[in-house]
Amino acid sequence: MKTMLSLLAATTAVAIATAPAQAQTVTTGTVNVTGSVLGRCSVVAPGGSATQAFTGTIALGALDAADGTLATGFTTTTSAASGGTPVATRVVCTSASVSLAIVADRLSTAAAAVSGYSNEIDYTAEMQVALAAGGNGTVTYSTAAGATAANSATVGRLAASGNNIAVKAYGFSTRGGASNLLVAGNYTSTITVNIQPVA
Amino acid sequence: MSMHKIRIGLTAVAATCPSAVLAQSTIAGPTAYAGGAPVSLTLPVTASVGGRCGFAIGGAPSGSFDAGQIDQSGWSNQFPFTLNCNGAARVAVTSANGGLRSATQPSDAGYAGIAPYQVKLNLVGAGGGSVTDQCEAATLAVTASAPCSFIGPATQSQGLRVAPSSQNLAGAYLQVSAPAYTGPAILVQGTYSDTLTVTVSAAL
Repeated sequence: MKTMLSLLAATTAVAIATAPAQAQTVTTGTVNVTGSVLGRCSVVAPGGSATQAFTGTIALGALDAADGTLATGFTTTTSAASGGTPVATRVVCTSASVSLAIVADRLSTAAAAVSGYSNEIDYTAEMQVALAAGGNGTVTYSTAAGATAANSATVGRLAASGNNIAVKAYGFSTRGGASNLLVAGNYTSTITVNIQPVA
Repeated sequence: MSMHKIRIGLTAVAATCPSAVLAQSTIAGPTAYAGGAPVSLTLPVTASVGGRCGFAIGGAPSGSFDAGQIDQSGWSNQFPFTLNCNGAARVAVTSANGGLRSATQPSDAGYAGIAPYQVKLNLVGAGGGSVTDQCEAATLAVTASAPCSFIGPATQSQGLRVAPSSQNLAGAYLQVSAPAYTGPAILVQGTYSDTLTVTVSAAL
């Protein structure tokens, strides 16, 4: 009988010693990693670093014809055949939708204009963006008409590669009438465009 | 998994006696007879301990890390863990998404909804030795065409191996990191996430 009791005791001891070992068999761990990308638009010229602005100049050259009025080469310009060389760059936006806006002021010179002369030229400024889905989005601003519904728009994703923004000027007209003579001087204007993510 | 195996053998030599008392083991069932004559018993007891391998209690890798704006800044984080393996072990990792993945997966050319990052595994063995390996998260996905050498789940022959043992040693970690994302594709706006599962097994 004593022998049997000893064996039973040994069996019980094994059972007790085994239980903690089973609890140590944790063989799986899990970790989570998160991050974010905010809605953002940046100017990233091919091969360049990201900035928040771009500048450029549309050089129109001499504006006047031999008779002193605005040269017809400017009055007949269009979106497809604009004056000067458009300013082009690449804008990267992370958002699915992008808001576009454009404003401009007249081409003007500081020299005063008397009757029959003009020191201001109206025109249409345009920003054309290439879209990832194909085609283009366009906003325009007429310095003669001022702000209209056409000077802002919401478009889809911008084309990801290459220059996807072009800013141009066309449809020039002498303020006060086509027969007005342009006063001598340097004519300047500023086109301001805004491209931002839509939340 | 931990295993304890104990074998108990019982040899009984008893004098023949009609009034013998029967004693029966509950383990192997040998029979010993005891009575008025002396009983001689030999009880050889042998035991072996099988490979025990797992994470120490409270030592499994766990937790979350927010990398912030992954397209603006580089990031890195270590998840420490502790092994409890009395022999050689293997640790392996599986990535649920193969990278930080956004809920939005764009179809437009040039855009992406998944960001790469690196996963580094560092194990510490008895004697001070350590082993380290690093892979792209993309190669830790179960669908990876060219899997990482320590892709999970861990088995006796799969995973980063540490030897001769690693019992409650500090210094083991899982590290995740990436430089600020620069392309070539544009990451779309959104929240990105991944889950890494780390498994351990006794090694051959």
